[in-house]
Amino acid sequence: MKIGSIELSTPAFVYAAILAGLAVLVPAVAVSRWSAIRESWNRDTVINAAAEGGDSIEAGVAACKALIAADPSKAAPRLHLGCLLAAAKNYKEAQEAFEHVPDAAKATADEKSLALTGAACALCLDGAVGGKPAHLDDAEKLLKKAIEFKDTPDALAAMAILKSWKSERAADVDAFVSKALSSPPAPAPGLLAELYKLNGSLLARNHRAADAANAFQSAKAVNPADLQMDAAARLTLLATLNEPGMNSAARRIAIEKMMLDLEKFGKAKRDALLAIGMAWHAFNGEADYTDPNGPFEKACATFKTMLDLDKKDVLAYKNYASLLEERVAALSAELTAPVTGLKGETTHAGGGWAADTVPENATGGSGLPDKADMLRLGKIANFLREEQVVWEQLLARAEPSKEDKIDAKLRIIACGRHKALIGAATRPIRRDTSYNVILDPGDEQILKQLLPTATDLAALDESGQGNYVMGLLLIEKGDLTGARTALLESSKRGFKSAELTKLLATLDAKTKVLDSGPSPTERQFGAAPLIRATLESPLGLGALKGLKITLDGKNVPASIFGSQILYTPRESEMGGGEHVVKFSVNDASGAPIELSQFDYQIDKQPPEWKVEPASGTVKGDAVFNISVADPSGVDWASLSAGIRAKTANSPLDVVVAKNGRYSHSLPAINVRSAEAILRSPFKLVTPNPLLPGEYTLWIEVRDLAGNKLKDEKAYSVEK
Amino acid sequence: MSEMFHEVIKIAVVFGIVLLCFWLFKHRTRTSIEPGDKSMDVSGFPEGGYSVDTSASALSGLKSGAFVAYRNPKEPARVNIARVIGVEGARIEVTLKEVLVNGAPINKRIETNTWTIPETLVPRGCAYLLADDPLLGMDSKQVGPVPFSYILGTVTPSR
Repeated sequence: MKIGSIELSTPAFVYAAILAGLAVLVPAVAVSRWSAIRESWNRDTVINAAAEGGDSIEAGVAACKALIAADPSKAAPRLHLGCLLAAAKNYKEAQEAFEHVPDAAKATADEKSLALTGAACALCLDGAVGGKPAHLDDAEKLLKKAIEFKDTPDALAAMAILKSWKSERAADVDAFVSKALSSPPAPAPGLLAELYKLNGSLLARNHRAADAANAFQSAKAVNPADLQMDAAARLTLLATLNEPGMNSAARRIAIEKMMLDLEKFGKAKRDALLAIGMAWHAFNGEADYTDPNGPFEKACATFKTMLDLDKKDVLAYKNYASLLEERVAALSAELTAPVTGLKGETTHAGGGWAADTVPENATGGSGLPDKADMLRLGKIANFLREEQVVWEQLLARAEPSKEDKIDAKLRIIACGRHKALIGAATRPIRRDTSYNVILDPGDEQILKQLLPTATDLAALDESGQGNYVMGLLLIEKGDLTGARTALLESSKRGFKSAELTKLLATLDAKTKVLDSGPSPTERQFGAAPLIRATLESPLGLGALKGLKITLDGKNVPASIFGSQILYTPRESEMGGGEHVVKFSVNDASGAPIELSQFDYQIDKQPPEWKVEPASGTVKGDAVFNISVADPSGVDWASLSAGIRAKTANSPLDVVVAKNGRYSHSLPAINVRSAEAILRSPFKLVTPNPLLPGEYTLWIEVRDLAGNKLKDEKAYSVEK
Repeated sequence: MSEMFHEVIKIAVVFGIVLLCFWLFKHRTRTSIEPGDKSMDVSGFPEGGYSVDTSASALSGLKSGAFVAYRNPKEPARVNIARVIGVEGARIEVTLKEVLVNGAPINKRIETNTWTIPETLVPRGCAYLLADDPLLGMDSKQVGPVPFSYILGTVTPSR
């Protein structure tokens, strides 16, 4: 069977069915997928336009318009159109395109909010001059509307930025910034970068440098091409380095990072080094601060690098020196024994020398610091030496202000003085025959070298502090007259200090003898009297110059212990009788002043005794009245007395008194056994009457000076 | 009449085949690329070309850890491969030791060296991409978060 030329066979039917199916299916698919096909057709054009910009934008705009015309209900083509127009700097049309997004029937709240945010941005950019945005009030209205649709992070971010441009209250801006950063997902890249920058600025203003630096770094992460942001992050991070209360580990990481980025700071490298040096110093409370290659050494190295960078950098010298000064103070505080100028004592007009410097109890009796303190003093001396060099370099290389010059000179003198004081504290004390401390040649040289600096300082510093320091230096050098003149000039120039007043009073004060001995009533032990005097000298005994002690007109070498001057006369100087002792000393001006003169007696005679009856013939029951006298006093406890027969046929030997006590009960004189004999005269009698014959009354007794009386008297007893 | 019918059918078939080809071209899910640098670990990405899955589902479901081929925003003609660290809204952080996404470290060790960034949001419509060695590659370290429109599709490492 045929229809026309087509034969109705089975293959023909299959063929016809396929053709019919395709004929229906293809147009149906074409119609149903037309929108997707058309969108696919334009998608690459739009993406290329957005990515490549330039000439391709025109094609992209056309593609978007085609899509909008094909389906006005969709918001996406309008959003893309707005973006492309804005990229082409056609802000007016971009704004219109964005503002028409809410007209799209299928536009979501997100899309409407984003579109109005875009419109506000385009409005601000339209007419912006020199980077200054325009139409801020109108843009704000658009953004408010955008937020009403939905508070997308983009709308909130744009509002925050706009408010910051309008210089509104930081709190309002901050609220929008915080909300934008916490609203998911996140603003678009451009807005997010600006948001982070704004947040960084706000945080920096609130002195949260670490958070601010993080915000700037986030902005840089979002837009790595923003080199300005890189610098802002670095500079803010610099401020972070010295933020109080910063976590120690975080600070170390930040410092290391800054050190690696040092060269990136360019002209700000010096500021970076300064911040890094100070940041290393911030570890000064930590255990590893002074370890080898620890923060202290790194801080020193940083300031040295600053000086390599610019030898005239006054701040670098000052900071470096301050670091060293601080170490000196820290080590001084660790000293177990006080050392003048470093710990426990300030310089006084008596100087810092000798026994005043290191108490014996703190030094194991050697007069020197112990081993640990010696080590500390060695380190301190090294730091002082280094610090002095730094200050000297400041004066020689840099161009310091007058104030800095004064500071530098003051510190140079302080370093020198402390070095000399340490030298004195770490060597045994030596004195000359006049008891003046002999300065070590090295210490003396140090002080001598400081004098020109002190003279310069006194001339430079009108406040009088320079004269004061010079006064201190002269005191330590031993020139009390010069010191007094310098201190008076300091006071005249108006320098006020409690220490100055004290020093002046001290230098004007007279040295006095508080007491001396031996006094006439003083009991002396042994044959050699201890000649002593307690002096009161506000200068301190160490400062007494030309102290002399004469005994009977001859100089004698006395010893000084604390405030005591002691002398034990030699045997040749201890003749019996009256002796005269004189003290004299030079006053602050160097003039000798007589302090005191006193006499003392030396007793070399034994006690004298008398007995009644004196001699001759006595009765057998005779009572002897004995008197003992001595100028120094009688040592009654040494008294022994008795009677013994002279002849061999009557071997009587009675000890009536021994060691100051009666040996027997003696009713005849009303005495009991062991009764003490305490005064002169006393009575003596034998316990039983003596038989006729020849007898001897003997006595032994000492005076309080130790002179012994041993004597006897002969008697006959009548028949 | 029958001839005319025949011709109509023929035109419809040709038109349908053309449309089908176009649709297939636009909805292709595979393309080939030649990475522009050697910033990826060679054990996973040896030298040579790679097949990229450009299907919409592959792109819409991008997650941290996936590998993608993308056009370099600075040089759109250049295609690179990198790892997705985070997509829009994710919080990323690079420390000296590791890379964190929403506070959790990613499995792969990335050579951050001394480069760090504090916790930062990935912007809307973007992904943060890093090569195994960001110092060699041209990834988000250099260009910032990459917009989705620059991402071609996902790539599967050789192992």
